[in-house]
Amino acid sequence: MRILYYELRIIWRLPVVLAIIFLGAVHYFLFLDFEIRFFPNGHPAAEKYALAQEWTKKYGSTMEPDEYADAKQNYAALAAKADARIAADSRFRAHGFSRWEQLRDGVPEEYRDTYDLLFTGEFDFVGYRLQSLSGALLSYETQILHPRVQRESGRGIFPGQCIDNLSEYLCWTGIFGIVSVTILLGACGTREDLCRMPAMLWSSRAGRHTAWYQLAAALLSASILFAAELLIFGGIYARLGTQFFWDSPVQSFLNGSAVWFGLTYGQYVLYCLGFVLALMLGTAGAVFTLSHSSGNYTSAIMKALPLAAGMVFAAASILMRPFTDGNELYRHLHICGVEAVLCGPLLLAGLGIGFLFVRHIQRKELL
Amino acid sequence: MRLFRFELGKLFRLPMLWGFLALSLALNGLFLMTGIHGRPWYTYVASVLPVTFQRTDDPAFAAGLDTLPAEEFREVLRAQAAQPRNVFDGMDAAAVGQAQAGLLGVTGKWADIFARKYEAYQPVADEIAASGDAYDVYAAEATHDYQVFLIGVILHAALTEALLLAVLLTLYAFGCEEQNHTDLLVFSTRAGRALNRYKLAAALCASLLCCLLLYLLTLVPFALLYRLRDFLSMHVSSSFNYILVGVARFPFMVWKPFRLAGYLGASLALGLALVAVFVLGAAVCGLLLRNTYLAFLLWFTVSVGSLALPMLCADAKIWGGYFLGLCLPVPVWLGQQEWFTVQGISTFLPWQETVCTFANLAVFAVLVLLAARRFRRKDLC
Repeated sequence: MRILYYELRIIWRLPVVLAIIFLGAVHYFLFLDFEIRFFPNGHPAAEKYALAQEWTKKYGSTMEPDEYADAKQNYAALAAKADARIAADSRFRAHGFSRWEQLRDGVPEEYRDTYDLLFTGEFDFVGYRLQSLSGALLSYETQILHPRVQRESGRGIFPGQCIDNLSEYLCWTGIFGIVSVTILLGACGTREDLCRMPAMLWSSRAGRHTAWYQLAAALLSASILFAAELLIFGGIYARLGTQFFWDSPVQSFLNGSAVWFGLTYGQYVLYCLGFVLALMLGTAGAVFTLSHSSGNYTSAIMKALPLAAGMVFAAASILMRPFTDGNELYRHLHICGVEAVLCGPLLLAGLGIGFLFVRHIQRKELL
Repeated sequence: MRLFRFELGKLFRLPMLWGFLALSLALNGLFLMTGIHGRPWYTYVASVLPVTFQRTDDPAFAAGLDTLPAEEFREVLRAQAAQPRNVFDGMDAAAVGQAQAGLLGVTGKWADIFARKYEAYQPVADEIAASGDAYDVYAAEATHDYQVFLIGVILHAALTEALLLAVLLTLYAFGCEEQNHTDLLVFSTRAGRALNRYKLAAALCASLLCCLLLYLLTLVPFALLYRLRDFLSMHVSSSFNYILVGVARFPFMVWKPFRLAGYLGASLALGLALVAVFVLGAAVCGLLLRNTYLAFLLWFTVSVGSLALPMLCADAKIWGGYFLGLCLPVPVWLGQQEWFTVQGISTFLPWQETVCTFANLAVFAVLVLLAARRFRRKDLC
C-alpha cells in the first residue's frame, strides 16, 4: 500500500492538478454552462417540463386511461379560463375572437399580433400551456389508446428534453474526463524513464512488481478523477432538479425519441455514468502504456494526442442520446444498445493493454 | 550553421514526428472522404465550365448550358443560375454593420470602432460590385459547402496538425538537453548558452517544413478528388458564397477581390506565419520551464484560456476585452474559415487576422528575447 501511495503522489503533481482545475473551469464555462442556464430552453419547453412535473405529482410515474380522462378535464378547464380572458380582452373582441378554439390552429397574418399575446407573460403564457397540454393528450391518444396500438409500455410520464439535456451535459463531461485523464497520466511513465529509475527498481524482486502498483495507481487516479468530476459537475447538474423524475420510465408518450429499453431515468443516468467511467478507465490504461513506452515527453504527448482524439470521438458517439433513435452510432449501424457494445471493448482494450504491458516489462531484459 | 544542422537533425530523427505526420495525413484522408457525397455535383460544374464559362450574367452561360446533354444536374444548374445576382450592388456596408452590432449588442466607443470597419469596407464593396465578381458561378448553390469544406475542414485540419507539431517540436528542441541530462554540461559554457538561437531556428525551420508537407499532401488529393484546379479562377465573393453570423447569412465580404487561387495562397501564407507565432509561443514556454511536459501544459492551458477570454468578456459586456481577446493566436486560428473577410462580429479591424498575426509575431519575438535573457542569467541548478 505504501508503494501505491507513493505512485499516487508521483501522478498527482500540483502543477498538473492546477492545470486540470483551470481547464475544468474553462470547459464548464464553454460547454456545460449552457445546459444549466438554459434548461428548460425557453418556451414551449418550459411549459412541457412543468406539465410533466405536474402530472408526475398528480398521477405518479405513469398515466393510466382514467388519469388521461382527468387530464382531459383539466385541459377543458384551462381552455375555459383562457376563453374567459380572451372574451374579456378588447383587443380580441375587436377581431371577433372570444374563444381559444377559434385561435387554436393559428390565425391569418393580420391577426398575428393579437394572437401572439396569448404567448406572452401578460396572459401567463396560456397559449403555450394549452398547446403543450393538447399535444401531450394527443400523443397519449395516438401512442397508447389507439385501437391499433393499445400498448402497456410508453405510459411513463417523462419529458424527453431531460434526456437531450442530460446527454449533452454528460457527453461534454465525458470528453473532459478523457482529456483530464490524459493530462494527468501522460507524463508519469516517461518521467520515470527519464530519471533512469527502472534499472535500480528492477534489480530487486519488489521493484519488478512496482509496475503493477503503477498501473493500479493510474486506474485509481482515473477513478478519483471520475468521482471528483461526478461530485462537481454532477452537483451542479443536480441543481436543475431533474432527479424528480428518477423513478419515471424513459419510455414515455411525452418523449419525442424512441428509447429501446424499459429503463427508469435513474437507471438511464447510472448507465451513462458507467459509460463515462468505462471510457476514462480505458483511456487510463492506454495512456499508461503509451507513457511508459516513450523515451521523452514529446513522444509521449504525440502518442497521447491521437489516442485522446479517438477516445473523445468515441465518447461523443456513445454518450449523445444513448439507447435512443437519436444516437449517431445507432443511426449508422441500426443495432439497439450499440453504445454498450462499443464501450465494453474500449474499456477492455485499455485495461488489457495496460495489463499486457506490465507483464511485458516484467519479463524483458534491462539492457 | 553546424549547430543549426545538428539541432535540425535531432528534430527530424524523432521517430514520433513521422508517426504523427502519418496519423495526421490518415486523418486528413478521412476528412476528405466526408465530402464525397458532393463530388458528383462539383465534378459536373467543373466539367461544364469550359462551355458555359464562369459568369452567370453572361448570355454565353445559358447558351452553353443549352448545348450540353439533357440531365438532372444541367437543369439544377440552370435553375440555380437563372437569376444572376450581384449581392454587392447597392450594398450599404454601414447598415450591415449596424445589423451585426445589434446581434452582438456592442455599445460605447467599441461600437464606433466596429462601425468604422464597415465604413472602410464600403469602397471595397463598390469595387467588387462594379467588377461583377459576384456573378461568378463557382459551385452554384454548393459554393458555401465547397468553400467551408476546403478552408474550414481540410485546410483547417492541416493547419491544426501543423500548429500542434510546431509546438511539440519547439518544446522538444528546448527540452532535450534536460531530458538527456546534458544540460549541465552544455549550458555551463558560453557557446552552450547561445545554443537556444540555433534551437529556435531549427524548430522554426522544421515546423514550417512540416506545415508545407501537410499542406501539400492534403491539398493534392483534395485537388484530384474535387476538381480544385477548375475552381481556382472563381472569385470567392460570388453571390453564391456567404458567411453565417449566428443564423443570418451575409455575403462573403473579402477585403480584396480574391480569386480562389489567390485566397488559397493567402490562407497558406498566413498559416505559415501563424506557425511561426506558435513556435515563438512554445519557445517562451520552453525557455521558462525546463520540464517539457509542464511547458506543454502551460502552453495548452494558456491557449484554452485565450479561447474562453473573448466569450467571457462578451458575456460581461467588456467589449475591449472581447475584441482584443480575438487578436490572440488561438482565436485567429479558430476563425480560419473567414480569414480576409469582414468576419462579422469576430473582428473590429480591417484585415484583423493578418494584422494580429504579425503583431503576435512581434510580441512573441520580444517575449522570446526576454525569456532567453532570463535563461542566460539564471543558475543551472
